[in-house]
Amino acid sequence: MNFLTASLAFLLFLPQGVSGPADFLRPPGGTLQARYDTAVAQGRASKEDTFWVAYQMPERAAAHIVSPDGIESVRTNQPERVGLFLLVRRSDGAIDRIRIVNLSQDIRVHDRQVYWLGEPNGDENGALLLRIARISSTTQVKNDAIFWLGQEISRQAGEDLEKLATNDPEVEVQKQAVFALSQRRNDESIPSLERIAKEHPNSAVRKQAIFWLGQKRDPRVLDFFEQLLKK
Amino acid sequence: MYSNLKWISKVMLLGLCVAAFAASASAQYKRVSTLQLSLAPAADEARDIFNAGLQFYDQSRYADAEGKFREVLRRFPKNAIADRADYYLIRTLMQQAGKKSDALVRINAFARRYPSSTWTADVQETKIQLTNQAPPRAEAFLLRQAPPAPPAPPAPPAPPTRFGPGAEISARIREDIRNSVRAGINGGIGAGIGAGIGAISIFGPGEPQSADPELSFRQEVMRAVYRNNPDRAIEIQGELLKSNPADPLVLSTLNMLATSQSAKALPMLLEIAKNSSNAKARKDAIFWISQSRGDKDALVDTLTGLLPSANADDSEAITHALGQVRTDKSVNALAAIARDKNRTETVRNSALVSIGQSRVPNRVALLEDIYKNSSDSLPIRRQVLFALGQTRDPQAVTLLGSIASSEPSIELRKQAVSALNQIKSPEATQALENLLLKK
Repeated sequence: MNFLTASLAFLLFLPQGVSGPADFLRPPGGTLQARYDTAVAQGRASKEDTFWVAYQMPERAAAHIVSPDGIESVRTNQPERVGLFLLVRRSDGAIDRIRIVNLSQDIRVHDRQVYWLGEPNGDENGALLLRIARISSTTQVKNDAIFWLGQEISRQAGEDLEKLATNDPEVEVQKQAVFALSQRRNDESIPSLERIAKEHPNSAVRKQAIFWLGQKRDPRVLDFFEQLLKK
Repeated sequence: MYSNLKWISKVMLLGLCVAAFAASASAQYKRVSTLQLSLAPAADEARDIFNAGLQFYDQSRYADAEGKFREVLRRFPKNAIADRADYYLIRTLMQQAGKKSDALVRINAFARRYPSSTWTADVQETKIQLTNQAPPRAEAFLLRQAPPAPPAPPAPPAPPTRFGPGAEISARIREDIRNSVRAGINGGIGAGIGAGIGAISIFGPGEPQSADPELSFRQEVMRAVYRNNPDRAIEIQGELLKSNPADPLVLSTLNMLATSQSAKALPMLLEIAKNSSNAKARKDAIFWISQSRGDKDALVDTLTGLLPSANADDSEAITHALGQVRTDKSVNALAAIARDKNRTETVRNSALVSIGQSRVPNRVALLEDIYKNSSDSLPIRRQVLFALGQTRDPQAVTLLGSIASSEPSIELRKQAVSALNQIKSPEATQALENLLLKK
């Protein structure tokens, strides 16, 4: 009877493996990239099929919204602390998916280990996202990385995006980079998009740049369009 | 030990109770289902055909699905399921190459056909998918909203609209030619009937989505300018036309001009239709006048106002454009053209085809009147009979049956039989049987 009771109790109270931020592992390393590489190495040495590598993203500029009549406003209701969670496969170390988590809320992670990389600065964040965008084999992961790179305020991130839009071998990645660029501030995104619209070798990407420029409702854009039409 | 046994017994007893209750509830559900089935209305044929179409649609057999949905709409236009069938027909057309313009025409007519349909919003959604342009009110609403929660997937750039004069006219010509060929095969005559209609294909071949990457790119730029400042876009088009009356960019973006909100749009189209030195520009502009925003009756006045100074080709384009408006006034204008003995036979034939394809209630009466008053022209009378067949109207069946049995001209009687055969309704079949049984 004791055995029966114990079995039932085991089934009713199956261990769940829940962890909070205090339980996250903190791999060593002087830079974000170094800590990331250590985390992936440690995770791949464990027995779990997948594990999370996460860090707090630098505070980002709020979203800029431009109305049809040209008034630009800034949306500031973003969560104050945003965590980027990368689900990494043990088998090949590739990122399976990207999740965004509001760190201001109570976080509990089930079943998987979390390697916490801390709070890197904007340049480090941009560099890691760019690397993910370049090497990931999953389109969704690439797209998500490019999107979040677009949200990164540093000027370097903008330049990286323009390079991706111009040089990445995949047209879909180029288009995603054009979109991410279009979400940046007008004074930065309009010149970049105009360059792409004029000079990009792929007409589909050029058209994509035109489309997003057209959404800007900026008088400079209209002048640019006129030049293109009248040449 | 004893307390453990007692606890387990309680758990098991609770489990048995839950299982018994679930079985009882399940049995009740079956009874309710049976009751619902017995109260359900008897299945109607329209719904059966619709379901068959839906099955084809789910299997990606779009041509088969299209046939089924069209059958529902043709045979049961007043059925409660008609609007849903039309919606799925639109989606079916969108899946098929070369039928997107047909889909857009149906989308534009949907709200008028089914004013209280619950599918209207879904149809509007298909329009957004097709044109990648939100309706102005929706766009204004969306732009007021906050952007979606990150990470936002990138919206694709607007694909160039495939709806253009060429696509629209070609679709109608294909249908007309199919009908003509069917008439010719079925009746052994009527080879000449389609000739006049076929001549329509000489205008409006403009392909809005260019295969030329540079032109396609400039079309995208023009679309962006239209989104930002339609008045300025029209000015640019005007400037381009001054240096080249057949500017390919302008001619391939007249659809943007016609559907823009600008008050300058219609005057600009009218200017091109009247004064352009390029025949294709004039004909495309005439077509796009018929697709312009604003009061339809005013558009008919505008188009008929062009007739007195139009040459034969332009008159044909005007006739076709009037056929696109599909109002009582436009059909009356077409009837006037069909009656006008000073017009070419081609133009008059084109007018008759458009009357036959219209859905105005008095179309059969108009065609009958034209038939009676054109005893001097056998080709016109043959074309009237062909147009009557296109209406698929019960009144037309009566009229065609009467002509087939009593018309002195054997050729016209044969054409009437061919038109009856084209209708394929039970009434038309009955009329044909009556003719066979008649001594």
